[in-house]
Amino acid sequence: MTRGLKRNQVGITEEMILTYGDTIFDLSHNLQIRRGDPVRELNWDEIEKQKENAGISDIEIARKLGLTHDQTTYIRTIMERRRFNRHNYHRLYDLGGGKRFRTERFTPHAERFQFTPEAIALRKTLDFDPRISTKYLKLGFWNADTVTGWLDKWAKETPDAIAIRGPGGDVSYTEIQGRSRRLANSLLDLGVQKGDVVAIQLPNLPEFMAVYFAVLSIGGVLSTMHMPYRAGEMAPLLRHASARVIVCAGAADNYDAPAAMLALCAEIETLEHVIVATGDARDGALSLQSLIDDGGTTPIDNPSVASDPAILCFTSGTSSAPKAVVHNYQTLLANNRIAAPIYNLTADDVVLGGPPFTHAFGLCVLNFTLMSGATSLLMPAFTPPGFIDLVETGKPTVAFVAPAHVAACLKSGLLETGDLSSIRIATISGSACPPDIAYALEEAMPNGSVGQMWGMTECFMGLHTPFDGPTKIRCESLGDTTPTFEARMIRDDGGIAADGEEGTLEIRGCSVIAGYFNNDDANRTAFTGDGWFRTGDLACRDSDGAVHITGRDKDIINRGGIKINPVDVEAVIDQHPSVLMSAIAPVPDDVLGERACVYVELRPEMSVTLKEICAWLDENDVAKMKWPERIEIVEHMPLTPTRKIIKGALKAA
Amino acid sequence: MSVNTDIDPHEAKKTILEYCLKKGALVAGVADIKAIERIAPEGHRPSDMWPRAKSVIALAVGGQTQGAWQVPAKALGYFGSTEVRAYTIAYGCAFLIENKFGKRAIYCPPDMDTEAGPRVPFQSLKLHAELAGLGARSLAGDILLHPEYGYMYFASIFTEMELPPDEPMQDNPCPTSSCVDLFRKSGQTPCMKFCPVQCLSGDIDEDGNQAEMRYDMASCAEMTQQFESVPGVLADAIRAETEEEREDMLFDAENKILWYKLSVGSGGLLGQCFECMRVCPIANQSSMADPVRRYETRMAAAAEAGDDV
Repeated sequence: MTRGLKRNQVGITEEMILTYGDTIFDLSHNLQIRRGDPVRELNWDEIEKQKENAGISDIEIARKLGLTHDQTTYIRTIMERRRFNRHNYHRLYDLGGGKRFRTERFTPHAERFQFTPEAIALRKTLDFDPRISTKYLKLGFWNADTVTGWLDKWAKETPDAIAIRGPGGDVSYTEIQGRSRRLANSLLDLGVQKGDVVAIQLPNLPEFMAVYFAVLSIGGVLSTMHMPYRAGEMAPLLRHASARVIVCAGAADNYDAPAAMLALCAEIETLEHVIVATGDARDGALSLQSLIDDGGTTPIDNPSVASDPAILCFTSGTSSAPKAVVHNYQTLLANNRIAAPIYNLTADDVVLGGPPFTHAFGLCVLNFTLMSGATSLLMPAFTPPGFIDLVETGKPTVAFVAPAHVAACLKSGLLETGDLSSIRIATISGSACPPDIAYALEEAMPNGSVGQMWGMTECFMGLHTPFDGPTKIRCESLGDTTPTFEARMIRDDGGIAADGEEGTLEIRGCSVIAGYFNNDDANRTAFTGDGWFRTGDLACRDSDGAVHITGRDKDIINRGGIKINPVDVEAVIDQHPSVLMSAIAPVPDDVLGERACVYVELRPEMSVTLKEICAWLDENDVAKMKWPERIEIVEHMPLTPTRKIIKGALKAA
Repeated sequence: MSVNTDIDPHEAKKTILEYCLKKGALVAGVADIKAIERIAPEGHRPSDMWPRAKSVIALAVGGQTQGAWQVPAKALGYFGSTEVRAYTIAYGCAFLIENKFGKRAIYCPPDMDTEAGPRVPFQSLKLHAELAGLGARSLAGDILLHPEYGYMYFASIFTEMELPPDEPMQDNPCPTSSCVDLFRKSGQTPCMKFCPVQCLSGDIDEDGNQAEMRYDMASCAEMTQQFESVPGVLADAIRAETEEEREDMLFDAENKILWYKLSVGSGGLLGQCFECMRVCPIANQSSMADPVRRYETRMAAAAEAGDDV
């Protein structure tokens, strides 16, 4: 026998195993066949005839095949090892207690769901400091809530309650749940699976919410694209996200989004489907409405759980290193849940969200509304008359707006004449709010209070003012940290700033992300490694404990809440035949807070106007929102010894 | 050992079988050793283990309780080791024979002889039981079934005492009429249809008797013989290219169960799948198939006889 013997002692080669292995396996007892019932009947002829059918022993096989007993046993055991599928006993564990095995219901392990490499890479972004995550889990800051869970709750408990009040009329919680369920099944039929990224570029429409709920229900990750972005801006973001689907609006006079997105499908390897949400879908694209109409209603088999990535938002786009923020449900919803008492939202509230859903502030409002079972009053596009009209007809009880919204209404005179009596609380956020804007809104609301909130895509709401606090605090500061959050201001020397002293604002809390997706450089700069996020904003805390944002240490231009990274735009302007070098820097603006000004050093004997610069940017597919609105010609660009432009030295005339 | 020449083989057999029944066996009998010698393969005949053997006593204990059949397979697998009771009786019986009759006897080891073939036992307890008339081969991979007791576990005792053998069963209870009906409609009996690895197939003749039984024991073993996974898991883990892969192989839930079962050290716990028996009408609907049915049968008989129950 082969006890302890090696191949070279038994005389076995791999070639022999391959030559005799299958025959030995089949001749042994691995397959047994019996005809009739010969043993019970003691039918000796049949017993003899069928002996081999029941399998024969190793020694008998050895004799039959001309091998030694040792060789036969060796080869048999090796073959059994190689053929043995050890995962088969998993089938057993799902049986019993009334369940019976059915071949057609069983999917072998190798064929079962697995995340794509891209999805796994995205999940790796959720790399939290264990000390922090353990604390949040233990204290219940992170729980098992999901967006789908909240939608299902309200659809069950208050099925007829209005979830959406939008351009197409009212939509109940049951209706939006049904639409999203059908869309979810259609997405699954398309091959979209858990972990896949679905990008969306839509205004605040019911269609956005249907897509949001559908994608999240199947464990997909929704990546929002700002509305002004065009193919040039979107391509690197879609590529960075490995998006498989893009949902866009139908073709309009000034922009054919479906055509642009279909062209991107050819460019971006992962991008497979273009879904058109409004209007007709052109050839090659899918109609969102058809997907909803044709979708099944079966429950989702492998739904999202709280630890899954839920959204992927870009805070500033550059073609080389986008900063992609990934929130799972725990960081996405914890902030909303914990801050809910501040707003005292109930199912009776009607919530007007000024910010777009493609912005983290917009998603924050959407989730706030959902978690309280209230009604979302949708505003697809902002104009001062449209905003006032929506308030007067939709009668929101709660409003979330950006300073730019209020400033525009104030400038148009509509803030004073409009009826804002339905609003009980209005939160201003998105960019620094001049106090006179906040006071003006407070004055315009006979029954309402203004509050301010500071947040970022990376952390959602980190600072807020209490609605029952003094007017001065609410209109002139950002109040204090949101419950469970910590804030500190760091001086240039690394020390913690004292009250009244300016420093770089750092935030830590249960909605702060672990890091940017696939951007090590940005992660090194923005995260401390122990849960603190370096916001890039300058702030100080006054003697009352209220926090004020005093500036930014970053170059991003905040145009009415829309952050513009000028680097890409500068690169395009630098290519203009008249331009030697350019730099874009903010100039203060009463309405938007900031506007972009381009500083240009010309080539010898050349000239250029703002109009020509804008035409050049248009030709190069740069979104209009990024175009500078002012130009300054400088004789010599201020440069560092390493020829970096010193933006701080640029001053508009 | 002294030789007692005054033993009446019939009386001795009666004493031995009564002992087995008293100790908990449901049925017991004596197999014809000459038939075993002719049928068992070389290396697995009684004479290969013990040339002095003259008789083979087979006994059987009940399979599962009625409640056990209703629990999830995972739980059923954990407590499906009732064959130990049969071994205990056989062990005691061997002592009884030597003590009472002065004849050598051995409790037949039920273990597998892994050097001889795939999942091949030293001695086929099934063959002993079949020849002793304790059960007949079924379409469920030749598992022996009894028309009254259904599915049982077996044990054997060899002795140098000559005992008169019993006959195999006159009729085979498998397949039942309901199984034949299903087979006519679907080409499968319940045991074939509900086997999780589809290792059973066969044919039934026009008279409703077994024409052919096909049993893919290798596939069945993938479901039931988890001990065979152990070297494979370890070999794969050694070859793993990364620490993550190695962790997946050694510590996933599937293998955790494996390690647990190994650590509790019972061979019985390593190989269990009862799906073919769970759906077999003989195994779980025969009049004495489980303690509840035995109780009901006993009560009915007593009531019919007018006894006070």
